[in-house]
Amino acid sequence: MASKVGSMIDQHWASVLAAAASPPVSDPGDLLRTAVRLGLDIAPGTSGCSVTELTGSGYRTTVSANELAVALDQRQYDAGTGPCLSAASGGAVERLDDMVREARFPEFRTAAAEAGVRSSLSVGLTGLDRPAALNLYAGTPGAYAAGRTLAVADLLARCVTALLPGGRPPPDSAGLAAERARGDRISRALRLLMATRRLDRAAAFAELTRQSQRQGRSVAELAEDLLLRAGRQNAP
Amino acid sequence: MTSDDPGLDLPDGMARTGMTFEELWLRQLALGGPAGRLEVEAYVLGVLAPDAYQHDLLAQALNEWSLERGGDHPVGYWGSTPAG
Repeated sequence: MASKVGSMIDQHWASVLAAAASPPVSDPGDLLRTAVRLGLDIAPGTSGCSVTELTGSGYRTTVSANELAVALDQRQYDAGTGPCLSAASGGAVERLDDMVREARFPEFRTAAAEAGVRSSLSVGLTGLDRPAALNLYAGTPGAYAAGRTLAVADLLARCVTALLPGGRPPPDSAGLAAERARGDRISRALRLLMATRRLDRAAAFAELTRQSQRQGRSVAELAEDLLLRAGRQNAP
Repeated sequence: MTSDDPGLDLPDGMARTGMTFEELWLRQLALGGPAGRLEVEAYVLGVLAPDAYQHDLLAQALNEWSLERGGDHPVGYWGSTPAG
């Protein structure tokens, strides 16, 4: 059962990541709802996840996984202060590890305590034409203190940014064409190895990694050797 | 990495080499890898499970980075690490 649940989460992440890699998405509503539900799995104890955006009528929660997040966001909009507003307006990360010990945002902390929330994380969404943030709320202190948890939240925030109206894909890197050209040479060598040794792609690549370990050479060098030998054998 | 030592997993390999996700993504592209930048992060962070080929692409990218800096092959391949 656990593996089925894990597989479903994998599929949901895969669909969100694929769409985020090539926006604009024509109807992103379902994907954004999927994204905030994925937020609930980022850290144990997470009980709310939402997206705050500045609209023509002020700050609003435009996507949410549940009512708890909507209510906590709203308390911040009403007070005119809170971590989600600070993250959205500053494009920054606002992490409150323990509402009991925290001194900032007293109105929000009161609302959070009433809702049983002990820690929160708001990640500013940069790259949009308006302030926005991804918000996570948890019933346990320190839910978002771990480095991996922060990295996953940041990844999800960038996916949400790309899916929102006006969102852009991650910028291409300048070296992309050169890297792809090198990759094409290795792919050619892999196809050769697959055909001559009757291997699938994973096994052919594993063979190259074993040679790389034995010889202390890169896969690119080994691939060029393979292509050179094949060229000599095919020469008239 | 030796036959007795399964080697580092991908997150520990990232920490050991100090590579950025951007660098890892470009390296796996240069190895013929198909994954997008966000996808590479998802594999290393464990929110997506790589198949054998994708795992070994990322392991090789990390290992070649290490090789170029006088190291060996610290990251384990598919089947040698607990994740694989």
